[in-house]
Amino acid sequence: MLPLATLRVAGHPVSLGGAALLGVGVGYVAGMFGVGGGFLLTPLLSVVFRIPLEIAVGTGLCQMVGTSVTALLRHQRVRQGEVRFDLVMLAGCLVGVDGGARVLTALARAGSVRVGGHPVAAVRLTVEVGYVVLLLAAAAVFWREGAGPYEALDYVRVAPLARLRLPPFVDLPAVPLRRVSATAIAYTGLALGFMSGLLGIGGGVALMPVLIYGFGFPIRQAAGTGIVALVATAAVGTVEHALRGHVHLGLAMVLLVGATVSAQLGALATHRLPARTLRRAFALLLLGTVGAIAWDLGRHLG
Amino acid sequence: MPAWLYALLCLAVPAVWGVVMFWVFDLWHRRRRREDLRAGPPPIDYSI
Repeated sequence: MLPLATLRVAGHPVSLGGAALLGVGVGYVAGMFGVGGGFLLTPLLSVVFRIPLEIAVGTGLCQMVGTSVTALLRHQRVRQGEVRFDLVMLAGCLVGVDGGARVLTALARAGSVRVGGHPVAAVRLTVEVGYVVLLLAAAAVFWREGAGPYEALDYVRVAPLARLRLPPFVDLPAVPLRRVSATAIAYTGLALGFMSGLLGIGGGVALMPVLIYGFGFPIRQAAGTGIVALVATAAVGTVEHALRGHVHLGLAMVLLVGATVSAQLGALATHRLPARTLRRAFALLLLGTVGAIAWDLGRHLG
Repeated sequence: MPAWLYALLCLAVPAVWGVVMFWVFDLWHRRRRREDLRAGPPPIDYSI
């Protein structure tokens, strides 16, 4: 049997083949469901390879730079989405990702806290509980969408964020929406950026429900919105984490190579499945990830 | 290696890979579309 090459990540041996396989799996799922896959990659890096969470977050964001650049260039061809929304959201995203990276670093330095008499790293507790809450909320949204034809939802959307009367206002002609609060959009960016810096996600999994239910975007426009902000957030998050020593470039590239190739195959598989089945399958995938994180947290809590 | 240079590499290497992959798969998709067109029925001539 051939000896498998390993990478050493923060003192933990990571099999090169295992990392490539993880990249392929996450990329396939990302291509299939049209998401970045960060919500899957970061927890799995920690659960499967026992990599410290701050390194998993930084490395996940680094590989996201590659996937988001490809998505941005493809987006330039298709020209879907509302770029104005991205530009207004951008400032909030950049401030948020900086805040998230700072909080993650502080948590990593904070050491352990006691939960029910068991010591658990503060960074693990915060990040894994954050993931559980976020993914459960997203799973509920996608499961509900899978219950009926998507088009019917266009008529029942309430869009509370689009109705906020907080000045200044901006028109979004591509959606089309008039006089939407720029403050609400900027704070949406701030929240997404913070989650990116803290949890290592691109934000697509959280942004889509916010755009559709919060702002009343049609699905086609929602899918193309946020890519410019995603590239900027991933780039700034990567630099922030790399300067703090939280990025393993070799591991990020192994993950990225597998992910970019398999994402194309995942996207081809999408055409063969009905949209409702896809949304339900995505909700189940989110629940599976929640289960893996909960198991990991339970293991650390003894 | 200085931290700023490492941070720059962490940004540049995956970004370049992303651009290269876009070109490669864009070429692949175009070729597939061309082959599909060639294999399909000829366009309808509405003039007759």
